[in-house]
Amino acid sequence: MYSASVQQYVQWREVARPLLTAGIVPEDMEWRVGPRFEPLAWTDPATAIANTAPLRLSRRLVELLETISCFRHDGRWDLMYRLAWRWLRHPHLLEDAADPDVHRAMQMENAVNREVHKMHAFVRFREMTDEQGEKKYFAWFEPTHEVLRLGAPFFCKRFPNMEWMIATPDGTALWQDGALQFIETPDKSSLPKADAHEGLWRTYYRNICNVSRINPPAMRREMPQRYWRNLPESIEIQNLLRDGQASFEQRQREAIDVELTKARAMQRALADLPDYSGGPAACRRCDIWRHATQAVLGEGSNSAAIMLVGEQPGDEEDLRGRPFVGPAGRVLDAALRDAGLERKELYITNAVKHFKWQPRGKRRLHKRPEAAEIAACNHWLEAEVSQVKPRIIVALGASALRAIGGLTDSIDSARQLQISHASGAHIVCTYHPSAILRADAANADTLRTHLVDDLRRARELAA
Amino acid sequence: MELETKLAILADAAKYDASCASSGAPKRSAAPGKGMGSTTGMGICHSYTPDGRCVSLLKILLTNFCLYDCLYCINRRSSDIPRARFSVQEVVDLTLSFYRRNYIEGLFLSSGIIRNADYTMEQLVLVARTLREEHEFRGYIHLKTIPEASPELVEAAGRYADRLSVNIELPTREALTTLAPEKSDVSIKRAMGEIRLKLDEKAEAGAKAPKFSPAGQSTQLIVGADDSSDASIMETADTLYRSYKLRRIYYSAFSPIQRASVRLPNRAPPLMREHRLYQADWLMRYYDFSLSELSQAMPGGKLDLNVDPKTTWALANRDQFPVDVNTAERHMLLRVPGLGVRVIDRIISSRRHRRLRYQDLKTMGATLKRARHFICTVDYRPSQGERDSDGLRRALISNPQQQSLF
Repeated sequence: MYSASVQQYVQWREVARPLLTAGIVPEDMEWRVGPRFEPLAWTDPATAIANTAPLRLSRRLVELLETISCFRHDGRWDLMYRLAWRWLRHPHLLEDAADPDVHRAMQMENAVNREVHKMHAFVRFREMTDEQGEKKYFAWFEPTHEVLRLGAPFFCKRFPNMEWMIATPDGTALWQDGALQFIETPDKSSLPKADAHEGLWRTYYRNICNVSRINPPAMRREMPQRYWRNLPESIEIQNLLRDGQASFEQRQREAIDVELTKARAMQRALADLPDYSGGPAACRRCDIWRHATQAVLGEGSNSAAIMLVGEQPGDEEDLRGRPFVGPAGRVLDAALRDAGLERKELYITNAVKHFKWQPRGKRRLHKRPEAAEIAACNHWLEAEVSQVKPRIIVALGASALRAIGGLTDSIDSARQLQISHASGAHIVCTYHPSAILRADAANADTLRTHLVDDLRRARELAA
Repeated sequence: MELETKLAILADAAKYDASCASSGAPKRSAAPGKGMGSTTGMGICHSYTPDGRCVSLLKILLTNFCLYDCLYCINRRSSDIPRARFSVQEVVDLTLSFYRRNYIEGLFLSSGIIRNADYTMEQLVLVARTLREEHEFRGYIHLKTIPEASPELVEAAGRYADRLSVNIELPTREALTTLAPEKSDVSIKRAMGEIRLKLDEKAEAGAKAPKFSPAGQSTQLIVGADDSSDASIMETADTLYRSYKLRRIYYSAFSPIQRASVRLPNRAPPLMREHRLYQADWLMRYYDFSLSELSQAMPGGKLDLNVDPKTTWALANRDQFPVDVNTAERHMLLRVPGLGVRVIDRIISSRRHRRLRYQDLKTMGATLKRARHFICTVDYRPSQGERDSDGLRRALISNPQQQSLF
């Protein structure tokens, strides 16, 4: 048995050459995994082999071996040896794309070439002026495969008159005075953190995207998420996706509308929606935002007949950024189902857009919003009502009732009242799903029945 | 007006032009002490936006002021969008500083028509000339050619640019007359013809003649703004490819634009239709399909949104299948659904060394889900007569609706 540990193509060649000359079968060679070069060793001194002169391999094979040696996988050295060994016995080996070794090698070659291409595409330089006033360019790049050496020469041809450095976790390419060197990667904190032109670049990126034809899978296929953290423009992606969603929903609404002029008028009204949705996110009318992750905006159909108003986002809602997706949301979903309502046909929102909480152990415990906080947030709720123009508003719980109806009654008594909103919408008042979660078993069933009944009533009123 | 505001306006105004390719330029690079930039021939996409499109070039308008009032265009005279104009120097500086940071492959510059065609074209040429001559910029430049600009200006544009393009925009003259009353298909085609002539002249004159648009010319067709059928679009495409030696045609699904004319559809861009048109275009250019063969893939003049055009063609020609992958000629392999050009190359190379089995095709990357109904191998034959073409079509529909977007 023979063994060695290699990390680079040249080391592999040095080890493989005598083995190939001596005709050692691949099964007798163990390519060990290790961080350092360990030269060829053998278990039985009688089978010792000496170093030999270079072998003749085809140019295509050498190119293939060099390329796949950059593929970040422990099995590469063994596969390379097997390919070279088999090629010496079957010179047409590489033409047989159906051979499993050849097929695997081609796959690896494609992956490495693709990564080189992605390096050429996704390296982003940042400009820094040194003490002498010279401009220098720095990039930090994290390649999937070990492609720095294959990818760097491209930049020499493109930017021969700039001084630049491409740092990666595997090593660093430095172009200085017309020569390319590979050096140890410097401390990442010594690289520039920003570049004045990144703002302009992001502006370009934002505006060249056509949000009426959003297609995230196509973007991710070509620009996988693992690259995003080193791309300055990726900050814009979430916002653009949101605009795209708004534009998508807007068109769905319009498709239902048969009268073109009516659709136009609606489009104008709805064109304001993205701006408005940026509103609560930046809202500082009260202080709850300080401890929340994000403002949780209403969602659902913007032409819904029924609007559901809860109290405020909970722990899960705060993290996910969507209303009623936590435990209370599941209770609500079940109740909606029993009442014969489809969530996507409704508009669901909260009286207060940020999550108010108090610490309890390691958890964040819901804390009821103050009247002043509900009042501060009312601006956004009313804006939603005037956008969606629901015919029925379901107030879930006392905070919602206060926000939407201005009443401080208990739910028990408010359920008996006939009330309506200033817009003319009928208000149906019922229990908040989390009241069901807090209640004891006997009470919970009663509350659940009431909730379903009230939702059903809302459905009938909307019909 | 601030540079950033201008950039926002003039990038937004340029985004309805689908082309962003940086391919086809001759290989070149900068030399020590001289210039910046290189081209590899293949083109590089430096980023991707959430619409799934690549960002290869800085694609902007010099200005979005325009004399014309083409209904489908966001920049038309009567549109009340904000307007801006870059100076030549601003475009040059922006291109260089983006390029230096490796954001882009180069510049794609277009413009609304201001004053007249010649003045507008002159400004575009000036940007390209400054980049090439003053800054020795070797990156990619794509210039829009303004119809009715003088031949000298077109020649100058071709000297500095890697690619020129004139957009035909609408597939038929009727549509053009209705939606772009001030444009004429004649002047657009004349402009393409002029570029074609200069490309030919350059090809004949050889290496010593001055450069002329080495990456050729392209154009764009808007799909879904008028009611042209797929058959008439492909017919126009075939004509354009043949007449003007276009490198490629971009099919751009019409996007509803702000405050559009009431004569235009206000609905989601027909993305699946656009996709099928590209597939049909590919069949013409890389799979040797003639227009008449292609018409068999468009029953009633329409591409099937549920099934790709090659499969539609194969279903209409079942008597020619199954094809034996171990013996069939390349021409016939190209007609098998689920086999692409690259897989076919592998098949032809591999079958010299072995008799291909079903599993081998899978290894070589064939899409067997489609191909298996149309091929046979040493160990495989589709069971005959199990399905009629209609049943097979239904079985092959992978995605019965228009591509879902989320």
